[in-house]
Amino acid sequence: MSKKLFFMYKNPDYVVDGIRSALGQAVENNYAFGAVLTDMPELDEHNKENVDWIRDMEGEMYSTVPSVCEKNELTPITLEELGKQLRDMDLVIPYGIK
Amino acid sequence: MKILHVYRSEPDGDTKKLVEIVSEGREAAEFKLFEGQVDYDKLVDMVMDADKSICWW
Repeated sequence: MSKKLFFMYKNPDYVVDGIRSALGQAVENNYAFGAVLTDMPELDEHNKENVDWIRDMEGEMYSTVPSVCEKNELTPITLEELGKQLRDMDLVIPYGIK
Repeated sequence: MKILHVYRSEPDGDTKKLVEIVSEGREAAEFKLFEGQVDYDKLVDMVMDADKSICWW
């Protein structure tokens, strides 16, 4: 049975790796979501395609940081909206080391 | 629903806010891994007792 999973990234060093993990879960037929909670460099084309792939599989990749949304084409989300989304998830995964 | 929040480090303002929203209207407990001698037996019992656990950064 498919599960709803939410990854959260607070350390820029783990964002790319964490997006790849979310994509891996989407490929395994789970619903994968993620949110970047930190500033980070621009994703390369390969990783932007990974985000698109997550969306193709009914997931989403958000950020609470406006500049990160702009340069990486992520969907804006507030901390309050994020908290409400987490309530509906089967698994919540604060990813990496802070 | 019983929810357990496990903290790997001192929670900052964002984490506290998310925990507050996720816990609203639910029975919530917390366990700190960053303070003193960790009682892992107690942690296992708390995880088994909870319906859902979140291990924060």
